[in-house]
Parts: sequence; C-alpha cells; structure tokens
Amino acid sequence: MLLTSLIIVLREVLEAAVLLSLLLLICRRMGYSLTWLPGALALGALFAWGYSLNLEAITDWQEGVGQELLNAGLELLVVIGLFTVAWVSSFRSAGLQPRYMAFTGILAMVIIAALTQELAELLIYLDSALSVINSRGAVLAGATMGMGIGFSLGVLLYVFLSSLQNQTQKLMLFFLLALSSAGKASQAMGFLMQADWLESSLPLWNSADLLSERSVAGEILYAIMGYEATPTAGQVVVYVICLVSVSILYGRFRGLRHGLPRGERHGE
Amino acid sequence: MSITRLGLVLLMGWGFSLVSHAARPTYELELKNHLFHPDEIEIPANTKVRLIIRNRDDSSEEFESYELNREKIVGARHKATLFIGPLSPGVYPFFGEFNPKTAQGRIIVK
Repeated sequence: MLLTSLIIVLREVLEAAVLLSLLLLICRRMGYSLTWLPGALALGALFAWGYSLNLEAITDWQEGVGQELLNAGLELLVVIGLFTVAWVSSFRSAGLQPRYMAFTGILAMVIIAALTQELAELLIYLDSALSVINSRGAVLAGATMGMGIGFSLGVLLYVFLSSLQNQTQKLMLFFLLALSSAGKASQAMGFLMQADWLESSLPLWNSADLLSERSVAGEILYAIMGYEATPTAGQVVVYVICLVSVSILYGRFRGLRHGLPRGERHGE
Repeated sequence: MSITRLGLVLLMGWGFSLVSHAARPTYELELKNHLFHPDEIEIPANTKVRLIIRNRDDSSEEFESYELNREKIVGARHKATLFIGPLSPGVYPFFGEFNPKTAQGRIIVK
C-alpha cells in the first residue's frame, strides 16, 4: 500500500515539478519576482479540489467523456501557454520587455492548468485510499515520500538549470519548453482519441523493448517530454509540429540577438 | 509565425475530418472488491471499441494501461466510458492504478 501510494503521488508531483522548475527559472531570467506564485499554486490546488468533488458530473458530461475533454482542454491550455512563453521570450533579445502582469499571468495560467489536472487525480486517489482505516498510515507515508521525492527532483532540475552558462541555459530552457509543449499536446490528442472525438490509428511503432514506460527512466522521460512507447501517427505529427514551432521561435531568439534580423547580419 | 499558423490550421482541418460518429461495438467490465470481472475480454483486431467500466466498490479506481495508452478514473459506485483501439492482434494488460496488485486484466485482440 505504501509503495502504491508513493508511486501514484510521485508520478503526479514529478510532472508538475518539472514544469514548475522550468517556468520559475524562465521567470527569473526575465527579471521578474515570484510574488504571483503562491496565488497560482493555491488556485491550482483549489481547482483540483473542485475537480475531485465534481468527478461524477465531469465524468458524465458529453456522453461519458467529460474527463477526457477536461484533461485535453487543460493540457491544450498548457501548450498554448508554453508557446506564448517561448514567443514572448523570443522578443526579449530585441530589447522588448513584456509587461509583468501579462507574462506572469501566462505562467500562472500554465501552472494552474497543470496543477488542476495532476492534483485532482492525487486527491481522488487519497480520498479513496484513506477511507480504508487499516492502511491509512502506509498510504500517508507513501504519499509523503512520493511528494518529497518529486519535489526534490524538481529542485534538482532547477539547480542544475541555474548552474548552466548563459547561452547553454537559454538553449536548454527552449529545448525543455519544446519537449514539454510537445508532450502535453500529444497527451491531449491521446485523450481526444480515448473520448472518440478523434479517430485513432494503429501505433506507429513500439519502443517498449528499448525503453519501457514502466521503467524509472521511462517514467522520468514521461514527466519531462511525455514519452510514450506506442504513439499513433497523429500524436507523432503533433509532437513534431510543437518541436519545430518552438525551434523556429528559438531561431528568431538567436537571430535577433544583435538587434538585427538574421538575413541582415551577413549583410553586404 | 505564418508557418506555425498554417500548420495548426492544416492540423485542425485534418483532425476534424477524422471525427467518426460510427457506432462502436461495446464491451462491459465490472469492478468489485478491487477485482475486474471479467478479467479478460476478447475484441476484434483493427477495431475501435467502447469499454464501459462499472465500479461496484465504495472507492474510486483508475483504469490504466501502458500498452493501450489509456487512463480513466471510475468514481465509487459509478461508471466510466472510454474507447480503445484499433489494435493489432495480441494481449494488452490493464490494471487499476489505485489497487494494482489485485485489479488486473487483459484485453485479447484477435
């Protein structure tokens, strides 16, 4: 029971922690404070609680696929938010500083959407597991450990990213933004297929023998980049589109570094 | 930016064109005392099917499968609907994430 609780809590917390580390470091790089963060965390927790309280109604919505639609919607909000962060960051090097409220508002939206989804499952599980009196201790111990490990890994990522030299750090942040947005977009598509709002197809490949989703590495890659061993063609296409889009924005970011559009830098 | 926009529009158009309203074969599972009944279901290959899970327990469960790429929470004394497939022939295990040691089953695709 302890191990089950640990794994469930760790999986959800890790996903949120990776995203949080990434966004907090980007916020710091832009020169903004984190005073907006506690409010965002609180709202995320509140919405997650609301989700868990209304599980039946949500589940029954739209002929029984409400959960999938809500999860896909939350994930798409995260994707849109991450794209916007990448886009806004790309203008920064041309000397344009985005407004504090607008930029931190986007970061808050991403965090609230991600937390609503991750924490809801956690709360539903804990509500269910803690109702069994005999194993309450084990469930709580496992949950605490899972939260601790997930949080620690998030801090580790933040410290690692902070330690990188300026140019390498920029590259890594954009790379992680690309992977996060691609992973979430692919997951959203997965939910829409699960809801039969999108047609499905046979998986394009099966990489489970190379890297099982059940392994530690597989779970970590799932948290960072939405790794799936059997993606469909549609999910792969969406994934690549996200990677390419963020890469294009990074290209603009670097091209505008000296205040000139890329083409003119090699000028006549 | 225009390339991204074009890509998004094409993707949406393609996506919407794929939405199917065909009737899906339906299969049912029950969850009682953290066990799936039946614990094995046979479905045809290359077919998307509807799976209805009825949870008879007083606690929620999460139907999950790595092989099927599906996860859905089924509330206490409630039911959940999801779609799986199309799949090639084989055995696809699933489990209840909240009670993984007992709630286990297989989808057999022939």
